[in-house]
Amino acid sequence: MRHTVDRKRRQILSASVVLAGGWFLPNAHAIQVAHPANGRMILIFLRGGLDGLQAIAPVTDPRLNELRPTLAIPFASGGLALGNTGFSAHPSCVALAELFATRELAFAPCFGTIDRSRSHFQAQDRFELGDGGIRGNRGLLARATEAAGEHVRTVGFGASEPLILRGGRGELIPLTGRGLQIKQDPALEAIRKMHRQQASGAAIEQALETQTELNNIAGMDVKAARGAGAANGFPGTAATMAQLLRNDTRISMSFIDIGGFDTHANEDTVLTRNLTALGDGLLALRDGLGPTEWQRTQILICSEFGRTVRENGTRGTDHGHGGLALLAGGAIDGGRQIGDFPGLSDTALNERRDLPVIVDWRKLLGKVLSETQGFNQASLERILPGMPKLV
Amino acid sequence: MNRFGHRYSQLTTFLAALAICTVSAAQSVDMPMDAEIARAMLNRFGYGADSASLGATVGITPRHYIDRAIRETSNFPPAIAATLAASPAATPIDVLWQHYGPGGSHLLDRKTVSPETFAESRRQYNQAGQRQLAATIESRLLASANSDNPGHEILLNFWLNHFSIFGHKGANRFLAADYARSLQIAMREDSFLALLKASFLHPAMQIYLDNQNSTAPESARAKLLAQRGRSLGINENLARELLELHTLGIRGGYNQSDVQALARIITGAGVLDARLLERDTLRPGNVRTGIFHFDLSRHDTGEKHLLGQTYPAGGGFAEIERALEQLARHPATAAHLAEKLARRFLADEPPPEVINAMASAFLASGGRISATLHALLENPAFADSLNRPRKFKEPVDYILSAARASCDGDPIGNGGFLRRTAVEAGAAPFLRSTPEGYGSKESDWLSPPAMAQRIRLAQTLASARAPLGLASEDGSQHKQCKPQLPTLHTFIGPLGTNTTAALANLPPRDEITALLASPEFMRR
Repeated sequence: MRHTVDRKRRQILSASVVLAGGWFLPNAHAIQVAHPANGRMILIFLRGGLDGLQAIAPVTDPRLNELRPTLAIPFASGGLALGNTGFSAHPSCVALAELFATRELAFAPCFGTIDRSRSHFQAQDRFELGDGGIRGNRGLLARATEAAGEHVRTVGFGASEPLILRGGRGELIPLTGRGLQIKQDPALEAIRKMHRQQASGAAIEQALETQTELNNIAGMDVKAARGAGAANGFPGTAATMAQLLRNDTRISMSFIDIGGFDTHANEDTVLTRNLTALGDGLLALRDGLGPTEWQRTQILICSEFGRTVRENGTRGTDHGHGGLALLAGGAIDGGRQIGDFPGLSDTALNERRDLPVIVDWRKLLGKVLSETQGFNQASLERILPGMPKLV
Repeated sequence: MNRFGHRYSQLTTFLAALAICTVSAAQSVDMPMDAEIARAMLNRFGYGADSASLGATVGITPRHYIDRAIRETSNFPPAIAATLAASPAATPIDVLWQHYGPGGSHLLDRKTVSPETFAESRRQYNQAGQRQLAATIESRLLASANSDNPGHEILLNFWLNHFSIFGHKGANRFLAADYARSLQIAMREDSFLALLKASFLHPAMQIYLDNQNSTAPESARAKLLAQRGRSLGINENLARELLELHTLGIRGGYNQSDVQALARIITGAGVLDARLLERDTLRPGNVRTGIFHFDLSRHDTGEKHLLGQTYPAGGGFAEIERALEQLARHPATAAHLAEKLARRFLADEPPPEVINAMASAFLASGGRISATLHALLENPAFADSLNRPRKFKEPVDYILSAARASCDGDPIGNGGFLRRTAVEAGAAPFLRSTPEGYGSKESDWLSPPAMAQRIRLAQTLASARAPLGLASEDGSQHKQCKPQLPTLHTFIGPLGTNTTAALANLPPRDEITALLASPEFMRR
């Protein structure tokens, strides 16, 4: 059975050699990459609603200290200035500031969806569906995978399938727990027969394929976590991810989510830990991918919504609207701010409490997808219906 | 008999048969269950049909089954009852809180002890918390696995998931077991309002959704703190989730100003702090129930408007109770709960007419869970679904039913094994970090890693490498349960043609594995 899979993969690979041959100089690297843009997208989704202003704050805005009397303190004492943008990174974001300085990171301070419910679950659904709606069973990466064609793999790193991947060929590779480790015995063949032609059967077949791949890498994180893993495990997970991505350059799109960003109370403590882990994870990805892979990688980091600009009564923030997106990678146009920032005056805010959304999520996703996967405008409109035009 | 007469007699027979069919469909909720229906009910409202539970369920009516599930508790084999009673999870909350609650131990006060002592007591506190939470999860799973009233356990697990708390938040490691007991008591009142109150008024929920320090900026407490240079204010986390998740639902028709009004109404609710003086907790307007504490000096006493109703200025704890009643009686709450119950116990996408019937029954009965579920059982779609089970078992459903099928009435004593398996599946009670609880749809759970885990579990159970049974005297090892083929076949019921064909000529041990991982065993 494993042989069948390998044979299928080899056939796909040889097909892509033919395809790629016309577009690239025939070096070993390009031969394995099977789409014209020769890029790779990694989407890191921070569940819970990251308070972007606590990662990257507009320190020159006169209202910052008034609106965030305790939260702004670390920026005054140890903020890391980001060029002349007027923003500083939180002291825990050393890695982010470094990447910004080397032009490998850009940030959009007012990024988000059109969802105004301030509900985690509805906003996440809207983000992941990517068609403007809140109902459906087909995520935007499922559509992107289809548009990219058979020779491209899309992988969700986790044990359960996020909505963004549902309804398509997206694969799942768990990076925590015991892996897949199904024993080969006569029962297994019977089980595969019983589930044939059912969704459960397709899942079993995919598990058997992925098992081989996982067996080839070391360093699985043994701590189990469902879906969005805890942030503090992210650096380890990211290192494993990088290894898998390096092993198969056809994994052109990948997704991972991290939980723990719903910071209603004692936010600075929680985010100091989580943002440190996020930064370390980014560096682990960069180092694990190596310079060549890093050069063709774009990492988009974002969340379902931002949070209230005003600090709440328990040194946290409540659910808001616009939030932070980070774009990182070796070949991005970094060291800059993406989209305007209207400031923190009451009239600039959404309903006088949250940041507005200036960069539509589909627009930034569309940009990354077109640059890394080579999608044209017509494909992008199928993947992200209603997307504002790319300029 | 002439031709006409013969025809007539056929017609009457046909009409009589039709009448019986109609009656049986309408009254199936009051018809004693045969073995087929009992097996299906035990799979749907329980963790599977082992011999003992099947024997106890055949002959009773679905109505009786559900009413018993709501009103009566579980009995356990003596050894399990002893295990549960001896578990740290059974420690009364006031005893635990004396040690581990805020102000419970001076050794945890950074200001009064040396850094070394503080670090050491902090370490011990964390260890005790880990032990306590693990024991709580194990007790919940052991009770569910061994109950003689599995409907009771699955409904309690439903409500614990509806009012989900995260065991690792703050002191909740010590509170989760008491939270479960409180919801269990409330569930037996057969009233949604009782459940809502039990959840809201429990410190575990107050801590989980950050309400315990939410304080009106104009309140006496906030002013006092402001003099000392500290600020406290409103936190709207619990208010939003009360509306969105616990009662009305996201489409319930509330807006941001309702969230803010509710957040103001529930200010002052929180947790008893041992550092508070007795006379402070007894001040007029304060309310103390167990370790829940409503502190009027933190409450917003201004006028509020919640979903069209005015809460006049000067209100205290009574307006929290009023708001909970208003939310519990809201038609949107009825629709939200009807849909959620139908999704868990009927189908991923329940037909609108079933939801409507359940919501109507909920409203007409004043929020009775039994009436709401009777409306589900009475619906032809439910009877139909029992004949063709399509719900993909959630991980805990699968794990517990596999354990019950393997042990078939022998006590399932290895709580650690159940906990580790549920944790690995990402579905252990009290470990969902986000407040919407675990999903109950196939798309939430059917994935390659999940199928791999189920097959692995089936392989482990079939080879009797999983010591599921009771612990030995010294606790060092557990007895094994050896799954038996005839038991498994009874447990699962009729098999599809694919399954039957695939089982042909398998050695018995492999047949056991294959049955435990069969499509039929994965659906309920």
